[in-house]
Amino acid sequence: MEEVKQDFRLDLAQKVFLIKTADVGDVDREALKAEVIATLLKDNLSPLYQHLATELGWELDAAKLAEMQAANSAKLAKLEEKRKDAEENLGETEVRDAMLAKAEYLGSIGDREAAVVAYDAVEKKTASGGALVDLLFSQIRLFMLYGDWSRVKSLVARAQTLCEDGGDWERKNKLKVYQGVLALYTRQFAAAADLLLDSTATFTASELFPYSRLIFYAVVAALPTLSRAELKKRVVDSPEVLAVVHCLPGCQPLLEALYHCKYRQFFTAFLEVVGSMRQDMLTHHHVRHYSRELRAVAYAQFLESYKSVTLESMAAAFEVSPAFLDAELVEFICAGRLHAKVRACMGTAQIRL
Amino acid sequence: MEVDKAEEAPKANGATEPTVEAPAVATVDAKLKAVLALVERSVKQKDTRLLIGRLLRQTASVRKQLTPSSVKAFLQQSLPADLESRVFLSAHVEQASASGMDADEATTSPQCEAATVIPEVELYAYLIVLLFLCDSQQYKLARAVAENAVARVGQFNRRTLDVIAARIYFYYSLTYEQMGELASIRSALLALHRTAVLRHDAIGQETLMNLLLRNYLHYNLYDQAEKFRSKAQKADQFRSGQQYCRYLYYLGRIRTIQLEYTEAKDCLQQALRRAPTIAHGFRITVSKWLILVRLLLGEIPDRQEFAQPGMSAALQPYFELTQSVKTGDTVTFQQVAQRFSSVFLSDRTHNLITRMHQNVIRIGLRRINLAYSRISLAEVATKLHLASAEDAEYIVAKAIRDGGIDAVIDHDGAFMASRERVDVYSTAEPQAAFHARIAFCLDLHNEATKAMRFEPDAHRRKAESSEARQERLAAEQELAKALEEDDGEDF
Repeated sequence: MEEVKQDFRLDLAQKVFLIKTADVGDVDREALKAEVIATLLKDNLSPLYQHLATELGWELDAAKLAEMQAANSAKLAKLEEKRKDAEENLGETEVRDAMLAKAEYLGSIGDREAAVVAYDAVEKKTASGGALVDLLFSQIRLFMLYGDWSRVKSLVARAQTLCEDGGDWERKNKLKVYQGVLALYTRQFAAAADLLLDSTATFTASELFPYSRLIFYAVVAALPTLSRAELKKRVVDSPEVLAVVHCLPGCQPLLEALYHCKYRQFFTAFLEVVGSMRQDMLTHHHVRHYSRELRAVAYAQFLESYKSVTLESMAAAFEVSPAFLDAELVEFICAGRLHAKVRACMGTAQIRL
Repeated sequence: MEVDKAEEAPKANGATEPTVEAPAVATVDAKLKAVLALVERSVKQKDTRLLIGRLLRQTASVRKQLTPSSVKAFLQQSLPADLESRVFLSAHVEQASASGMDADEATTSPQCEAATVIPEVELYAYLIVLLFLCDSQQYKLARAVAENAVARVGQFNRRTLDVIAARIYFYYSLTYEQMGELASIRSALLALHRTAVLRHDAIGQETLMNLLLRNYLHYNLYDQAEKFRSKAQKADQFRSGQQYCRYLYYLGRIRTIQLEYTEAKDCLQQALRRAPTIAHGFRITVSKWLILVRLLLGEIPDRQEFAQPGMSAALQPYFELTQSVKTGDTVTFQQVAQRFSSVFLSDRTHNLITRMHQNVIRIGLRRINLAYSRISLAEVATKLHLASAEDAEYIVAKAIRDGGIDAVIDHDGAFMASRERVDVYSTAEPQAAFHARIAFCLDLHNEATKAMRFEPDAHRRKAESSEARQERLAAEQELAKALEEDDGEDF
């Protein structure tokens, strides 16, 4: 099946996120802003323009806004006409299609409330469960654009009940991806890993993001949460992952470092991966938590094979300074993540379990 | 301390435009009339319990809708025209409305029919005016009314008046506090308290004791407060839940300042648990004190406690403080304390923060003890930013002696070694933990049993007919529903 293009709204959301978040370095905010404004103007996304102007503190070009709103209402009027025409002359399906067109248009210009109303109206006319679920998916994407994740959560729950009652496999697979994304956003890495890895074989939801991105999220979620056996089976040996992972920055070395115990390259790869996580709107907030989790896993794995090891040799294995490692170990031991004790005497330190 | 009152002042005064007022006045009118009927009925039956419950609840619901014209109408209706209180009160309401609102329409409300009224109605009218004035922040006028009210209450000795009188005392103290003249009424409150004790006026006793404690604590007179509290006569059971809450909070504060942190934590936790959920200001203040007491005891409060809805913004400085304490780093602790010093000063928790320096060091030491099985004292000194290895040795020795950490010091080798971790189930710790929990549950059970109230004539009552039973069930349901709608507005 040919790959659907990514929903431009999510692309926009990612750009807006980059502009909004101040602590992501290496980002040309001016260029992004120009791009965003260009898209807004081209497609006459007036409600979104207003929303972004207030949120990001841009100055609102009133003339342009009026133009865009005029274009919007003109288009809406045309769609209304079509719908009336369909009601009078054509059959039910055409009516529904016309209403759907209107709802989609409202969704695409970013008018939240009107879109919801319109979608509800279409839902009443929709009989098939699969089409209903599709409607929910479009709404979910709309709300993701606005960052309204509580609505996203409720919509995903609704879609789940619909799919359980009787949905085709394609919709169920898509739903898995959406649920995985939601889990990732809400820091449930274990659930996210499970869902996303499952859907690598049957990925059709490329309106959310391209395939490579899915693999990135799946690997990132899997690393701190899966056991070594699971990791080998589902990630390291998985043909889907292997196909794409080399083009994701830092993922392949990190995976290798963790699974094949090549700790020397752990931290460099780790920094790369965390860097790209920071730039992504779904994972940005979890960077600190994630880095703690992953480090805890790495240190615990290293110490598993030793009864006692000197701090220097462990620091050499990870290619960091002993002082840094000392501070890290104290923190993780006090938090209960590592079951070890440091014995510091006469200048050298030994870690004992 | 002002937050204690802030929670009770409703957010918006019921000031709507005069033209829309006619229907609003009517409903307020109707409600107030209903309340008056209730008052008269309960006085006739000498049933004070009914007064405490329904009267106050209904007043709370009316409170938000009071406007000058509705209050005036009420006064005209309820009090006979020649009563001097009515003149006095109307004058004050006039003054209040003249300073704030637009011109009133001439309300044609029925004049009062009775020639005299029972004192309860009169003092209830005082109370309504006081509520109205306090809610519109006109404390000068309110103070004058309150003084007058207290004088009037002093002329009666009726038990049915107790509840209304207690409320009046509360607003009396409140107006003085808002005007910054609390000290002047202290002797008056003490005299009133004595009288209440002599007359076995339970609710008055409780309210006045809390007001006096608040008075002392406002001026940081912790010694006097404790002396008063220990010597004053209290009933074993507090009649009013809200008064008990307040009492526990004040007691907790006294105990904290007296360095008895375990008791203080107990009191504050109970106060927090019993507080109604809509009493935001009170809960925030109690939470702040509870967090600080727990930090002083050496335990770190959970993150969940800071994330409660509506409280997270106010507790943010305390959250950051907790985080810096958790790391055991005195440097960051000082920085955070500096950064939020204005907040702590306004919360009057500043001196507790200064006491915490030692605790931070102790917690840092505990972390080191957890992570290191053996570490030289010089390193301990560097990690804790102490002056020298000797200092570190003294501090470690004291901590071991106090039972804070489980270690031994080797003086010659200049290191500290933690002792082998022994299986906790072979000690008596699990037993102690179980015992504490069981004791708590049993206490709760005993208190609940003691607090049960039975109707005095229950044993004499004959079997009730089915209508009577239905009536009773309906009344109970209404009571249950009313209790569910939190009545934190009451006090």
